[in-house]
Amino acid sequence: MTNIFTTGQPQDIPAVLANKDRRAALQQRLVAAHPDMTVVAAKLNVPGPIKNNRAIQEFFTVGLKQLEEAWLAAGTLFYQDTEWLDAGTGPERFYLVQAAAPIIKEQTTRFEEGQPSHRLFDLDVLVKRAGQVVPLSRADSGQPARRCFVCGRPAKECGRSRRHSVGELQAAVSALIGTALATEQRQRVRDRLVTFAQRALLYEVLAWPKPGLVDPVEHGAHPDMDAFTFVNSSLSLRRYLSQAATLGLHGRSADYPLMFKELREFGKRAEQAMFTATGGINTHKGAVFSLGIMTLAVADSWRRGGKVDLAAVQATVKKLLAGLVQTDLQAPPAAKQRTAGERQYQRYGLTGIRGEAQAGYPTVFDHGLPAMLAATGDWNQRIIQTMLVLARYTEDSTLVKRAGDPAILDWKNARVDECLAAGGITTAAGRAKLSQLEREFTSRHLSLGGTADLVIVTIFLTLVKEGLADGLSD
Amino acid sequence: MEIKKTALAGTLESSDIQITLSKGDNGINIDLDSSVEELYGDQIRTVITETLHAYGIDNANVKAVDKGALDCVVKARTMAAAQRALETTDQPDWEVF
Repeated sequence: MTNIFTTGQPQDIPAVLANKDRRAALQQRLVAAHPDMTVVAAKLNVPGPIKNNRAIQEFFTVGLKQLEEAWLAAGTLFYQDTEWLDAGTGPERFYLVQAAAPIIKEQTTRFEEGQPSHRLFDLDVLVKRAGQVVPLSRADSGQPARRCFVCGRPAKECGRSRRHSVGELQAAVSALIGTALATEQRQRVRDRLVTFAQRALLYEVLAWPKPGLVDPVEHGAHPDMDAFTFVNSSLSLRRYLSQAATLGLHGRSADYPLMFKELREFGKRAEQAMFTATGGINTHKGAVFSLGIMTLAVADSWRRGGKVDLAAVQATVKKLLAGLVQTDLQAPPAAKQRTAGERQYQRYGLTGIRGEAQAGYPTVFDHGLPAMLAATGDWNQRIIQTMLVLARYTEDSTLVKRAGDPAILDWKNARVDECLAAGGITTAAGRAKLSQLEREFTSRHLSLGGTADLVIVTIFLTLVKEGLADGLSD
Repeated sequence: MEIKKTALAGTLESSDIQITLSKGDNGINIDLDSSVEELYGDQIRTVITETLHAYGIDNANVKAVDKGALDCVVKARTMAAAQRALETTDQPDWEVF
């Protein structure tokens, strides 16, 4: 466990005592000025000369966020009056809370006891007694006294007797704060991955023009849905994407097939959420599958290396999906329940998205991602250019389904090649071909639904690579 | 040394002690209120008495409300109270500390 006490300004006894005087004066003033509110003083018990630094401040802020959430959930109104975040004697914050002191004392004690690291918080609920402002003690509300965070004896005894050395105390504090901050960091990475995944879903639908897909201008190939349907669908997947990220960030057993099994269960519920949000229209079924897997794999890579490594992501995808084609396609469900992909495997031997996924999304890693990372211009230009590249190399089962014949793939490849040869979205000639292709897809009722899923995954990986602060090597 | 006025130092914060010094005529009388009285009451009284003696104070009434202060804190707060009571706050006697 890392030692968090390597930075910070050492404090001496006079500084600590002067700070107690300063605190007592502020508390006196706050209690006098707000007779209808209860004053709560929040600080940390950090033994030893170092009482503040970045890690300590972050721990303090994160912990109080949880306290505030508990107050919010309890309907307890509060506001922050004063904060001494970077005081050398330790971060402190003073709240005014609208509830009776004994009730708040119960809440703060529950908070202090709620998690091992919260033991380091010292939340004083102040009352006026015989003219003086004093903190309510746990004994006032019949609660047991604090225990030492090293040995569990009554804390006051250990504190007074100096039973534990500063080194021993700091090691215990380091462990508690280190664990709490690691948990917080995992949650931040999870939230960031969910944001990237949802952005990827929304960016994809916003980009224009996309032959055979829905964009804000045109959705002729999909008359039953429009860009708004996709916004609804994208937002409905938040919980699922969070589950996928959490699975990867906390995976301990490294039992990848079992993790995938669990993800698929979450995926089934996500599909239900999607259908509810879209009024029964399939907007993102393929994306639920592919984006969920990729979110899990990115999170897994971060957990193992403290950063995201593309080779590791691809390796994890392969481990997650080992045997997918065999299990799904070679022993498919009864004919009438089969998906398009399952039917096409039966009829044409096409492995579709399952084959692509099980191989570790080579189309994404070998074609889509390099194209998007190399593409210049705004997001629209990057996405459309990448979509053309992906369309060229994707065995798109949605396209085959609409055409009713896998020969359509050769036609698609030839048309996309023409468009790319003309420069794609980056030239006037390429844009003319793109518009023509869009009209053709509409008139022939063709779709590039399978490609769209890979576009989403590619955008997601690009956002991760360009935006995850903890770095990504490839 | 003669106590000139009643003086207070320290707070009721945890790990602190609040010392109130006032005139007395019968040695050092300490009224101690401490959550660790049973284990450390005598120790706290000794530190207060010795600190006052170092200032030449032989007669005083002391009200001490202890919240688990360490000896060095007891000493520092007693010193501050003594200096205020003797009105020598502007010339702190660091040798005592």
